[in-house]
Amino acid sequence: MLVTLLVLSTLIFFLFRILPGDPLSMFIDAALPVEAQEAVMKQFGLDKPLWQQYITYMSNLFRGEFGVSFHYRQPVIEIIGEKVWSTAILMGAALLIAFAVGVLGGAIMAWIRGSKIEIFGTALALFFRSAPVFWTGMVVLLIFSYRLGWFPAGGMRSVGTEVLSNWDKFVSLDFLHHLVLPALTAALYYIATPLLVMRTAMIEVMNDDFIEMARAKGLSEWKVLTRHAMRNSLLPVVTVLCLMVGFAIGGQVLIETVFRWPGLGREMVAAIQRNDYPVAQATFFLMGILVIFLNLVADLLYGILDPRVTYD
Amino acid sequence: MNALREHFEILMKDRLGMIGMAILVSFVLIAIFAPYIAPYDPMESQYRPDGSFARMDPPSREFIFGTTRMGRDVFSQVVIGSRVALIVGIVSAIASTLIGVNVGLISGYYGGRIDNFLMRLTDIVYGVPFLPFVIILVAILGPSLGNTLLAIILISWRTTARVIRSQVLTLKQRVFIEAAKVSGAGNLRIIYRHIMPNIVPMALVYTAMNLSTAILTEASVSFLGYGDPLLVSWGKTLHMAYVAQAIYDAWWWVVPPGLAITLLVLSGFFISRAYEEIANPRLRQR
Amino acid sequence: MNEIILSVKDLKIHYATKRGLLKAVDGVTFSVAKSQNLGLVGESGCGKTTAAKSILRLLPKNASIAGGEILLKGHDLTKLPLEEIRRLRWQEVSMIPQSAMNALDPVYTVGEQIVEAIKAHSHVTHKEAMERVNYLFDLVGISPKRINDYPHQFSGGMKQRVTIAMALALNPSLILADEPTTALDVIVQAQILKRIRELQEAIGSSMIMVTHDMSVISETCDHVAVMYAGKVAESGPIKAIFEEACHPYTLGLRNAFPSIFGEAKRLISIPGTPPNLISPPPGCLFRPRCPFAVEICSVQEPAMVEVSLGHRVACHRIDKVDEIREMAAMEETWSKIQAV
Repeated sequence: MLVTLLVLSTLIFFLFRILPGDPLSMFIDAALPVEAQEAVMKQFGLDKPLWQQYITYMSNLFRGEFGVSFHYRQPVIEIIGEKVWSTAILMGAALLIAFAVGVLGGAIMAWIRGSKIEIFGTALALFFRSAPVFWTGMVVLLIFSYRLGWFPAGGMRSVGTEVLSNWDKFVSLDFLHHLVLPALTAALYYIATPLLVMRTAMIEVMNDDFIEMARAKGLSEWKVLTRHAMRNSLLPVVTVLCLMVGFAIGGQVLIETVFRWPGLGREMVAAIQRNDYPVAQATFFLMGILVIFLNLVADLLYGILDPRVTYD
Repeated sequence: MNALREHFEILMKDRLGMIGMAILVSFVLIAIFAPYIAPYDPMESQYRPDGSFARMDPPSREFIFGTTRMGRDVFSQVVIGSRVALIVGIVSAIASTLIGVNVGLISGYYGGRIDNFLMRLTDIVYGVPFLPFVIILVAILGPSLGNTLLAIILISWRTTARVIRSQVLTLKQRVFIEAAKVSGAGNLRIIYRHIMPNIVPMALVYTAMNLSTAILTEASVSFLGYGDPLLVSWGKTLHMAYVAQAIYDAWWWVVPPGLAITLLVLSGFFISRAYEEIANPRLRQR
Repeated sequence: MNEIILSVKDLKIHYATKRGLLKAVDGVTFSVAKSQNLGLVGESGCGKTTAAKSILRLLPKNASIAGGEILLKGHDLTKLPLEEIRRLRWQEVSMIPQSAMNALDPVYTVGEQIVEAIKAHSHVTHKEAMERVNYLFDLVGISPKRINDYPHQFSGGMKQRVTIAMALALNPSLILADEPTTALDVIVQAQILKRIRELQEAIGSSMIMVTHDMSVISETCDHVAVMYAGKVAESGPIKAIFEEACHPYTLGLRNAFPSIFGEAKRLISIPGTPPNLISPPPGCLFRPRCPFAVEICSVQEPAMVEVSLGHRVACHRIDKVDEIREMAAMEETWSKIQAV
């Protein structure tokens, strides 16, 4: 994990230095007065040789020193600090829904295998997986926000809402009202994978000998399905969760853009548009960290679920 | 040859696979004959029969999918846009398969330090968030079809590599490989003559998936505004619609391009699943 | 008096397949008395496993009981609803699976899996159930410290002992052992068989041992039913079957298995393959592979005839049994058969 982090940051380092033209424009706002520019150059060691810059860059990164935003003229960390939570909650909610419904749906589909409902369900799940999530978002907004008026047209909170505490920020009814459409849209996009993996896993597990033994012991069909079949099928599903997290961060960027959700993804796109490179770098980096972190969680979860796995 | 026939038969039996093939072939034909099929220049503003500017017109006989705020024919945009989608999809799919399969074959077969190095590399690439990376690379290098393709290919070979390596590890143990070795076959020969044919079905599962993923990625990049400025693409059309805030007023501008993407990507997934049945016999319906 | 625990009469089980109705079990009759061990022996596909599993109604979806009775202590199991069968499962009839490799759920401890069986049929506390597991482990020779271990932590032989302990958990009247030693090496096999026999005697359960291996039968069974192509060819007490076998198939089977004692002799196998059970040929199903077949064998199915107490055979050539026994011991008799 640490290695990935290291490599990711190094990648960003080089990525942002290959801009055609003046590489320094990445870090120094050309609109600043000359003395300010030189001050920034000193702080980030931009007048030094590349390898020294690299060391400065890495140590800055470790201290959470992402520089100052060109656009906001504030330290980057202040601007995007809260956005990490916005992204994490939306992504978390979407993945949770997708996996919960996907696992149940997959189990049901394995049970009714071959029936018309199952084929229809598979096609439907694949349809939403194939539809670009930003397009689904647009259509969802058209129907549920504009035509039916059931949900707000974007954003995370209604304009003018008072935020009394951190709790308020993320658990108020208003927040949840805004969360529904983007979370459900993203969940629709993600659901095909856990659904189909669970279905396949169940079909394979049902052929295993211990399922017959469970029946022979006189357990009800329900217990056989849940305690034994589903429990074992969860393992490949959790494995795929790791892959899904990386996939979800991409979906997140698009969802946040369409629904104007103030998270890392939307900020990154906006920052690139404004040539605000410190923010662009930082958001990309943080998204990478989020993915790595969630991968770790998924790995640990797998270790808990599968007794054959040991962690030294 | 027999194996090919068997593949075809299985594909035929899988209804979804057949539908996928049909859709893909249709789109390819549309793309090839696009200039003849599209009634208008997709980037040109059109006028109504009465001479007025055809702004935001709903679907009509003249403009099957209606027009945009700039008076452009949506249908023509969808037809011409198929070219970019298919170029990105097909080139990406082939390139990422070529890279991924070779990495997987070499890594899996030789093992040891080569395997370690290649798998480390693959792990690193796995750690990079796909879409954000593509966006940043394209934004930095400049929006163009080539740069988008480059960014996609740089990352998407990773899944194929891991999966193929896994398969090679299993195949390596099999008796026919031992037999080949004993009969004096060189390593390269074993890899490409004996092992590779066996991993082809699995590779094709991911080739089809890569097609779909690449098309979605290009559409996403164009939607965010970083599509090739000189080309018509479905993502770009949707970008225009979103930026013009036309979602609410002009559903015809939004629905057709999105449906086109969906259908083409769906066909890739259907074909991929059909190949999965070939690659993994346990999934076949008895 | 030895009460009859299980009596199977004229059992018929059919599989619905794409190519037609497969008569896997076609009129099979056998019985098991208290504390006795019946061996069901025959080649793969002869229907022995199907017949055994049908007692627990553990058949695949496309299988159905097409006729006959399965009387467990007088109650006809074929007439009971599935709910009732579930109650009887494990409590009255339990099973030792063929391969313990995959018979235990990898995500639960072995203790939990046995407790699960116990709790499915009785209202005991978890503690009481665990005590029972301790006792069972002791019986089969596993250290009680391993109750909370997972299946993957056991070797093949140990896993099989776990399944034996599990099968004994509720003191069932009947245990079905489905080729319980096929997956094990010979030495472990001998240990396990011995252990099974001891436990069965200690607890007083009856057993049906399903196997294709005559030597396993010779070590563990009191009675034997030899099955071929879904029917019983010959059945009777073990002494009778081994020393006075009448059916050519039984004689052929005995030839095919080595014995460590006795003179070294060449193994003689029965040429040919079992018949198609979807559209079987008329007459005796063994005829194509039988060196002693005559005209009537192609026309009429032989009926079961009692040749001595408890010893029954279905063969038209009973009258020539002495000659047949002599000839069956010679290799040339069998090599003359051309596979049909």
